[in-house]
Amino acid sequence: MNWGSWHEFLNMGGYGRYVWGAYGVVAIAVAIEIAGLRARLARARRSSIGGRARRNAASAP
Amino acid sequence: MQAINQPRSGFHLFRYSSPPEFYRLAGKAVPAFAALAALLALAGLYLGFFVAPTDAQQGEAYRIMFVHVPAAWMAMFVYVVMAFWAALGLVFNTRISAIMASALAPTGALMAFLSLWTGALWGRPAWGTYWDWDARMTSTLILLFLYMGFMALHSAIDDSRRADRAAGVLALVGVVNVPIIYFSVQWWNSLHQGSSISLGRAPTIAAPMLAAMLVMALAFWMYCIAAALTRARAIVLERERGSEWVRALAGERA
Repeated sequence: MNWGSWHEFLNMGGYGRYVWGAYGVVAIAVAIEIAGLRARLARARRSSIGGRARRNAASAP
Repeated sequence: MQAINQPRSGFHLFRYSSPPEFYRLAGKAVPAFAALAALLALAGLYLGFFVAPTDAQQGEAYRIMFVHVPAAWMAMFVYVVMAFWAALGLVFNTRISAIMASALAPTGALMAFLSLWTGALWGRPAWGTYWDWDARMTSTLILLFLYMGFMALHSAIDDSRRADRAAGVLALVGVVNVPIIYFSVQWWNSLHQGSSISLGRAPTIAAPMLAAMLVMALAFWMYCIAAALTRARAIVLERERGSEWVRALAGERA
């Protein structure tokens, strides 16, 4: 264990803004990519279902 | 005709290059890779922050290494894999190969960006500067531009088959940059340090530091696979919209 307290952990021996600036941006970037991928896959699925519904509506008598 | 009538007999390499089969298998693989990525990241962060000791020279700033090195490795590795799929797509004209190349590009670009960002934030405390136009950093910046050029060229061409070919050629030409990045610290005088681990030589960093870095590298690797496969599934659906199997899939869900 390297840290005696939360303050020590966050301070990172005086390098807190560099260390957390690096880890923070990695975490944010990965979260954004995951959210974007989920949205894109959901959109692709919806539009394939939507396309089917439109075709069914068009072919209905 | 015989071969077409018996698609499942024996070893059939191209079976997984059929879009419906790829979509189904990738859908099963993604949760496994994502779970592995999460578990490895938790283990790697624990090792990196709570087991690895303070560095004698750099204090705590060196802990940026545990995200910087994996991001830099993946930025290079993803590019090689992307160029490999692009080459397969150019040679065999298989749809899934080109889709894999397109699916890898944004994740590779993200890794290149993260390696530059974390490198800047490590460079400031370690060398006194965020950025220097030395060989390693400049060639990594070029790698980011190659990814962005691949994506821009692909999206600039409407016909997806033609876009695949044009962007594939760009990916192949750009692959010369990867060995330049890798060997840049040996070929040129660089501000960037040499590699701490390499084949055939004992690592120059302490064992817990090495363990944390390798576990984080595995986590990044698994993450890149999960992200690229998810994106490839979305691209498959987008491109195969209106085909029989996508309609059948929509029917199952409806």
